[in-house]
Amino acid sequence: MITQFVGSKSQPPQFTRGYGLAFGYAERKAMGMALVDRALRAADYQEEIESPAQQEEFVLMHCDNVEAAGFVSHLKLPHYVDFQSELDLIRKMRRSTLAAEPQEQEVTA
Amino acid sequence: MNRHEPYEAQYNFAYLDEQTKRSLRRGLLKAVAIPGYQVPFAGREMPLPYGWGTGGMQVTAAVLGRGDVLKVIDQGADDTTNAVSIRRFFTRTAGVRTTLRTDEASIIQTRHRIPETPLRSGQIMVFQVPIPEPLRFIEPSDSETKAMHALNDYGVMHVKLYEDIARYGYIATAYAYPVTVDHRYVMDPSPIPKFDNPKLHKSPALMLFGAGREKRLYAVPPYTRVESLDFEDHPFELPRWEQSCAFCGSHDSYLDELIVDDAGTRQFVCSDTDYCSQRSGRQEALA
Repeated sequence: MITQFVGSKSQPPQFTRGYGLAFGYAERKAMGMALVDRALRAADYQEEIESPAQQEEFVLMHCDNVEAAGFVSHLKLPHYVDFQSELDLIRKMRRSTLAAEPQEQEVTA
Repeated sequence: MNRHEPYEAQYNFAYLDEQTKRSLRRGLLKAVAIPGYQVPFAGREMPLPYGWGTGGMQVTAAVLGRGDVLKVIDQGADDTTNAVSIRRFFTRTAGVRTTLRTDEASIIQTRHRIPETPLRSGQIMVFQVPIPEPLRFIEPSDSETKAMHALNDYGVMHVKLYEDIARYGYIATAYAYPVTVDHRYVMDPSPIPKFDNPKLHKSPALMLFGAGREKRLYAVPPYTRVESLDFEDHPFELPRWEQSCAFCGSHDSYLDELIVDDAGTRQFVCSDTDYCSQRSGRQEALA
């Protein structure tokens, strides 16, 4: 599962991945695991923990109910359009970070 | 695609019972009377999970008549899972005629796109909405956001957009870009790309929005002003592509980027399959 990451001082904006693996035809289970995997790695990415979906307790309590089942399985639907717009945005953000970097170095040098 | 699914008459017309459809229509009337205002409704459980268009389907069921012609799209395409199964659902439970052509349809249920072909008066668009509250990511409390809507207190939304500009130099929202409806309510146009926002403005068609999980309806009546939020010195901008569609050559439709082989070769194609095939058809007829 892929999600957006706005970047930090040392890293440009990018897409990040979460992984899930399950035996048999358990696609939804694997997707759920991948979501939880990424949701709980806020600390690894040095993200500011600001939404409930980044808190371990909240995620574990809320990812096993009827509504969550629908949410997880809806990710099997195509997301070309949302993804395309996110992709364009991330590219734009990367262009501006990469363009900005050399200038910053010049200033510090 | 025009294969006839059997009409199953043991269901009430369009699946929901008449009383439910009536209460939905009452909610929709209120939504139309107060453009952009979120009206709660008594959502029913539908035979598919939340997140798959249960809100949109309930709205479609409420407004559908025997003479209607239904089109269903998912991310612009008529042939993706969600679109195919919802179209089949209404063929089976209502026996209505379906179409793939935007100009032939009287009701178009959509997941996250507005067709490229201009809509006309008399058509109804039904949007599937995951999160109806545009202020949700800023203010998690529902009673707070209700008060903010009531008091026309949208300062935080502008602050959020301003923070984007301060941080990145532009507004970093690519889809579900908030709009103001009829100079009053700030509304989430559902996760359509911001490319589609201008199509809401003064559209001759009626736009209905249904959120199944959160049980909310809202609407944009025909010819209503819909403005995307922006600032005087940072006006709302539309994304542009340097490429054109690989099939129909369109320069001004929303393009999806596809990787077509292992070497990473890219192709751009229209996300609106009906618009694309009609353009290609016309070009072939001319050639």
